[in-house]
Amino acid sequence: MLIEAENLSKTYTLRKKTGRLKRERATVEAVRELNLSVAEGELLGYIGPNGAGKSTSIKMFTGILSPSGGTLRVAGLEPIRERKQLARRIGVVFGQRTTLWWDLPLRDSFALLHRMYAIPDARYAENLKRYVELLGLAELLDTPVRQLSLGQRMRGDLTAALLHDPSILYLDEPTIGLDVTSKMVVREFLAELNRERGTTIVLTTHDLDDIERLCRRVVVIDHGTVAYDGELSALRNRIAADRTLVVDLARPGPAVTVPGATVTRVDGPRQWLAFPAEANAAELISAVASRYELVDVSIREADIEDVVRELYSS
Amino acid sequence: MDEAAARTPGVVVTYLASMRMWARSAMQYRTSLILVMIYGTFVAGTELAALLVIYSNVQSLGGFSLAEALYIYGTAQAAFFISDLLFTGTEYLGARIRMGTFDALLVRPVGVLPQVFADQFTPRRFCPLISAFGALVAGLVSAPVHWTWLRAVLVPYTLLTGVAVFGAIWVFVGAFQVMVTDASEAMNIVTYGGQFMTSYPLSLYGRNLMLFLTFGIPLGFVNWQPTLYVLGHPDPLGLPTLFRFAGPLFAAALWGVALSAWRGALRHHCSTGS
Repeated sequence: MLIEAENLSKTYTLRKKTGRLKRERATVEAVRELNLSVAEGELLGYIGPNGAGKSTSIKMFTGILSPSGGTLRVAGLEPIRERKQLARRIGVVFGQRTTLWWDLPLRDSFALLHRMYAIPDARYAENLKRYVELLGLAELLDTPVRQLSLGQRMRGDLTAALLHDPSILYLDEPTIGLDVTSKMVVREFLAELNRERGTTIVLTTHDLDDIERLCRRVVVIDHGTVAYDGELSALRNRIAADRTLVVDLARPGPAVTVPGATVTRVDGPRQWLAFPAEANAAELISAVASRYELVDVSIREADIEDVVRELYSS
Repeated sequence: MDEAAARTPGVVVTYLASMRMWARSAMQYRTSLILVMIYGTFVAGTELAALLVIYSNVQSLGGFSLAEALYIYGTAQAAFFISDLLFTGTEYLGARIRMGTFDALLVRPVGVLPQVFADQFTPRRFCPLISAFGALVAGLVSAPVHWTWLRAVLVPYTLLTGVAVFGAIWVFVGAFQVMVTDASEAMNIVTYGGQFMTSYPLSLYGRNLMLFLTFGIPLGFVNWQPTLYVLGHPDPLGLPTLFRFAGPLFAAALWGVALSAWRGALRHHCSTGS
């Protein structure tokens, strides 16, 4: 196991001002009794609402925060205590906060990492060549980072995090704010990295497209602990969120009434009908068609966003 | 793996590599850098001019002539600005923590403190050294010193001790910023305040402050104590002659305390994340 967390907890003590001088101590359990094991070569979606304990736990995994309870081993090391050794085994991409040198060409940031991680020259050259090719950075190596677009910078950050061949790559919102093409490049790159190099990837994101396209296993963190851990498809089934039938009627009218479905929205002649995932869609469509004049129909499956929202609220 | 770990850069290489990156970053804006450097040199020069203006009205300050005051001013300024050049990156730590970019330094396989020392380094920090060494040389040439080998050696000894004392204070600044990210200005009392106080004969400040500046915050060892010996003045506090040479001991002790404060602050950061 590359990441092994048992009953991992993190408690913060906050001092709240309650009067002019008085302060009250309040403890906040950001992470409580979190259990997680991640095997080598997994590509894990790590999701949850803001403030659920995602980043607190990731900070513990990366050796930035010390746990207040439980045990944690990452790559066989004890984070914090063996911070430097751990740093050699992990790569971290902080999403919006770049770790590249703002005013210097991309190439210079890579060269600094070459030294800091003491990457053997041959391996450095090989990795740099490979990532530059895969991520299309060749023309950008001599461009100062400040002149790169968000997507280009993200590709630079990815390369920077991988030059030392880490076993685990942590990504915090790697596709936020990127255009469609950049998103695709990043996703394809991650899938290939995981497949070809066997790099374990822990992906934190709000973009559920990322999860759907990349991750077989999803861990949902809520209220500081694991709310769901398993396959993405099973998560969908477990919640069994409603599907939606969208019908275009011949003319606008009041909400239709059919057994087994409820209208959630009406917009002119178009109406949205929610029905249970396990119900027969064909029957529902013929029920609507027998009562109203239908022009067009389409069915929308519950997407992961609905599923997760459902999970959070339950 | 082990082989790579063995070649992981130590403190000095990490520090120099980071410095180089920051220096090159600053040099991307050449015109701006040149203008700021001219300005910085000029400002440091006007401070020196202020000292000269004072001496155009008085013969001596705290028992020291202009030539002697120039020497004191020169040693304090040179020591402070060399320490500023080397260690002042700790001042930017509060901002880093607030912006969340400090974490990036923690996930690298190298020491945190050398990366912090080098933070935001810019060649413009060389500028104040011009007037500092100008004052120092002027003082050395014109002060009526009976030069001996010991006195001559004490001059660089004074500078090194001064750099070390101020350096330890910069480490405290770093520790303080980690603990109290939003009160970074508070440490200016010790850093820039210390720079100012040591630039003039401590005998100006009276006995109690002198005692505090010797045993409380050992700024008295930046330049005052060894300078008393070089210039052949008695110690107004009447401390034994050994104190003139004790600077490095106080500096080492201060570094010991500063480094453990730094480690404590890092531990605090790791347990609170802020």
